[in-house]
Amino acid sequence: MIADIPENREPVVAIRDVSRRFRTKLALDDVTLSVPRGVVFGLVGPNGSGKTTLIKHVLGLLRAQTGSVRVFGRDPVADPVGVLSRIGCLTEDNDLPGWMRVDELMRYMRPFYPNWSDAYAEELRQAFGLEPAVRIQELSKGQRARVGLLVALAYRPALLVLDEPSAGLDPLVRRDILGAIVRTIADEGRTVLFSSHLLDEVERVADHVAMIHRGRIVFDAPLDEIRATHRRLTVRFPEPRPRPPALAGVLAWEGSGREWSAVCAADAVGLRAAAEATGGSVVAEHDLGLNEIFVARAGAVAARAEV
Amino acid sequence: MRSPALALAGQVWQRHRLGLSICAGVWLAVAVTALFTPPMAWGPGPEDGALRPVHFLFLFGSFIPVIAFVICAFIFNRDGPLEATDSAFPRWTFVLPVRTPTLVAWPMLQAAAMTAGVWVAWDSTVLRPVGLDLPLVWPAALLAAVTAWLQALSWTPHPVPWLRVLTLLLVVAAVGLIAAFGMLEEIPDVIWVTLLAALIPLAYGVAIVGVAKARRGDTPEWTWPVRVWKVIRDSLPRRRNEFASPLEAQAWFEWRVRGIGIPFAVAVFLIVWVPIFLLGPRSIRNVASPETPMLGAVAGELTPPGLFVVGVLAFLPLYMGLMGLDLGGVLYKGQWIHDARAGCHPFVGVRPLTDGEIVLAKMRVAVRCTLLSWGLTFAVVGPTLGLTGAWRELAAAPILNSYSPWEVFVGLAAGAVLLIIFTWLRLVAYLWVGLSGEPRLIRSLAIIVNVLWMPVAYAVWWLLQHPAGVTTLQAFAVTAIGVKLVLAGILVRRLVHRRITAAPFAALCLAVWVIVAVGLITVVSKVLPGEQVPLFGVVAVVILLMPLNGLAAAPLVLAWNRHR
Amino acid sequence: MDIHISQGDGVPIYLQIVNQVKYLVASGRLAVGDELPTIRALAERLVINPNTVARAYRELESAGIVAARRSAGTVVTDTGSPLARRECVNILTERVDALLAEARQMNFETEDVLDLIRRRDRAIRPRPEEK
Repeated sequence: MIADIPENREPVVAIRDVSRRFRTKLALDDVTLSVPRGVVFGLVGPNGSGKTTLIKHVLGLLRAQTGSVRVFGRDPVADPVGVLSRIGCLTEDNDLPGWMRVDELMRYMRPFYPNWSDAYAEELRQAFGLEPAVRIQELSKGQRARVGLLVALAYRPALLVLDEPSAGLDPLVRRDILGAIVRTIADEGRTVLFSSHLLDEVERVADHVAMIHRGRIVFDAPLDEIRATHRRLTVRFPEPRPRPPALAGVLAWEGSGREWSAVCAADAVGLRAAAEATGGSVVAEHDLGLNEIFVARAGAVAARAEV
Repeated sequence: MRSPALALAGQVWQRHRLGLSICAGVWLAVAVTALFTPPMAWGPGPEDGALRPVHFLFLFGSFIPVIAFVICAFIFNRDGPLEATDSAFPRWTFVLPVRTPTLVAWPMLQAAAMTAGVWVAWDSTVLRPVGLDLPLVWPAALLAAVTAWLQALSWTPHPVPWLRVLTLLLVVAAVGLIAAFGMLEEIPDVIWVTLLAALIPLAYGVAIVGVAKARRGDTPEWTWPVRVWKVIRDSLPRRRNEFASPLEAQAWFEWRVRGIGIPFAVAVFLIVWVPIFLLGPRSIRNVASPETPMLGAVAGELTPPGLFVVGVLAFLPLYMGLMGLDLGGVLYKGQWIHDARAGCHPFVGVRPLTDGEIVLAKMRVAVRCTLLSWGLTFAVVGPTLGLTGAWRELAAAPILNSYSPWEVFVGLAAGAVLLIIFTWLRLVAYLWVGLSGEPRLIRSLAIIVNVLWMPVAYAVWWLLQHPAGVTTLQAFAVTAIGVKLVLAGILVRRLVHRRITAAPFAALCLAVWVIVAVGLITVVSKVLPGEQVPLFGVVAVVILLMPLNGLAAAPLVLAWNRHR
Repeated sequence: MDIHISQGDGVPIYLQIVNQVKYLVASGRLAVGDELPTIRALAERLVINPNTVARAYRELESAGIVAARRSAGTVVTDTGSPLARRECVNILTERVDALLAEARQMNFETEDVLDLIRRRDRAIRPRPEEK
């Protein structure tokens, strides 16, 4: 299906020690990231944390000021044809030329990608309900996103890159996008890298999640591992406390009076013991959803930055 | 508290402060130059103080971009494309507690005052001291009236898209005719001023009606022309074949986005230029006389057909240099000169194309634009000259007497081919500017290409008058040529080293360049009289004007822009 | 096969699938020998990662509820019966725990809860059984 794939052990995207500065702002701070082959890799982070900058590095739109970026083992800046002909990308702005018709866009994209399949493109066009003779500027926002998805999928790219694809779209289109991610990953050897705010979606489809905040990687692990290590402990104290105890390893405290909940990232057992040492008793222990992990982590980074 | 009307009045000045300051600077520079140029007598001979066409070009030529900018600034055309049906009047003013007549009055009054004032300033401080006695009052009144009408039409919503372009063009054409008419006939000032002054309130009335309609949202819309157009557009032969290669697909894309505008602009120019020729004086001898020294000074030895041809031939290559700035653009949304964003658009940046291939695609589009533009020109100019019999006058020019018809024919054919190639080279010369994706660079170069060549030309001409100046010019030309060739060497080496172009291909391009340069030098030196124009001058001008470094730098600049 | 995913409980998705399959088998809606959808088909239908479905199927297989056959996909095995009973007890235990917790909170005695259950059983019983 895809010609000359390098050895299966090599990561599809290998970012090493990349920093990026825009005038005074440090957008990426010594980022090292590896996207293994055949996974759905979710990149999460607050607005302005550097997700789009990182994805632009992968696409070759930004040159690495320090460190190196390798996609399929090649530098996307030095070899745009070799890298970009295997990547399908859909960005948040989805700036497709408005004057083009849908069939003109399909015809224009075709010669760039050797794996383009007319049959599959036509199947997608019908599945998305896109009329061929309509200009893109006359389509609604959701339909435009579907057009972008069509031309990103039609050649079955080895790497599908999505930068906040669901931003501002209705649930039907979001379902189409997620469905595309699932279908892509179901094919052997294909990889998906996507960044999103919608953590529910990330939790549904991602194998591997990395969180980036203020240009630094906060965590980068398989989703199961993240869910296993982050836990919420509810501690009940005999008398009301105005402030929760300061325990190491706690990302965020929540609560009031007698009952306080702590979110921890590792070593729940040790924390349990430490909490009991301060006089409280652990009454409950919960799993956390990705949403709560994200909020706790982002708050922890902010608190650390202020200190 | 400042009244909203006053705030509105200051709006134009606020928005265009940079542009208006540049205009003021230009006026100052030209006025100072005029101060130091002694008043010149009119006369066709080469004695001291004779007015040469170059004077007229410089002094009058610097007036044109300034007045064009001032008019555009007061039409508010930045708020929306003029071809749309909507009014160009800024929408946000509609919600102010100001009545429509007041809203409209301020910009109109200011525009009228400014345009008339610019002419008065130019005439009194630049043209009069030099000896160009052009009338003072009626051109000012004409400019004020024209601006008022242009404003009124821009602010009126039109029922069909692009209709406004037609109406504006009609106004401009009417201006040209009136001005030509006024120059030829001697009509007393009083009649002029009353006629033109009557036009302004009329324009004011039209503007009030138009802006009121826009304010109410009462824009008329005829859907039938749009529907007819859609039917025609959909039934036109549409490209149904697949693209054979990525380069072809990209070339199609660049053509559709930026390429179509170039032959279109040439067509517009021809639409304006040909009627002026057809309606103007047939032979300069009927008109040029001691009573109208100005015309004689401008035309020099050329007959109207000659002027017509020279105008066309000079316009195309010059204009293409400017259009190259647009063709190179890699930001395809919005007007290129107003694009505030810097960088390369992701749609182009993410295409699996090397930087060299993107530049090649643009160069292919440039070929198509050049061929279409010249095809149009020949198709229009040829029949015009033939049907009006003006070619006889051209053929009778003394310069052709020394050549046989066969030589003339070959010379014309060779000249045409060289001219086409030269136009293409000028078009691609400035690709690198658009490819850089830096809007400030694009804008400043547009100003330079449009405006600054005039003082440079003037300085060169002035230096040529003195022998010491000639030697300085020669030295300067030699250094310039040296720098250009060295830079070309560096850039071509860089290109080959980065493997953007293969070495044999680079060698081929350089060889073609040398051949075209030699060809142009031969043709030009044969055409121009040898005693007046030294060979070295021709060589220097051709080598300096032929674009070389622009082309070589284009892929390197794109690589810098695309991967920032 | 009627499976739904709901996010926001904090329950991992694969576990939801496992539990629902167990429930379907226990309640008889999935008979022995019935074929489960392929991993890819179920992933596309629920719009979740195929690896999650694969993990759920692996869990079900190690619990002995389903078996992966070479060419026939994944089928429900017949060793489910005693397991089904155990599963039923687990599910009901969960429900009873929740009911008792709520009753305790409302200050109901366990005896009152038992009375309530008996009363409701009598009220529902005259209707035809669904079993």
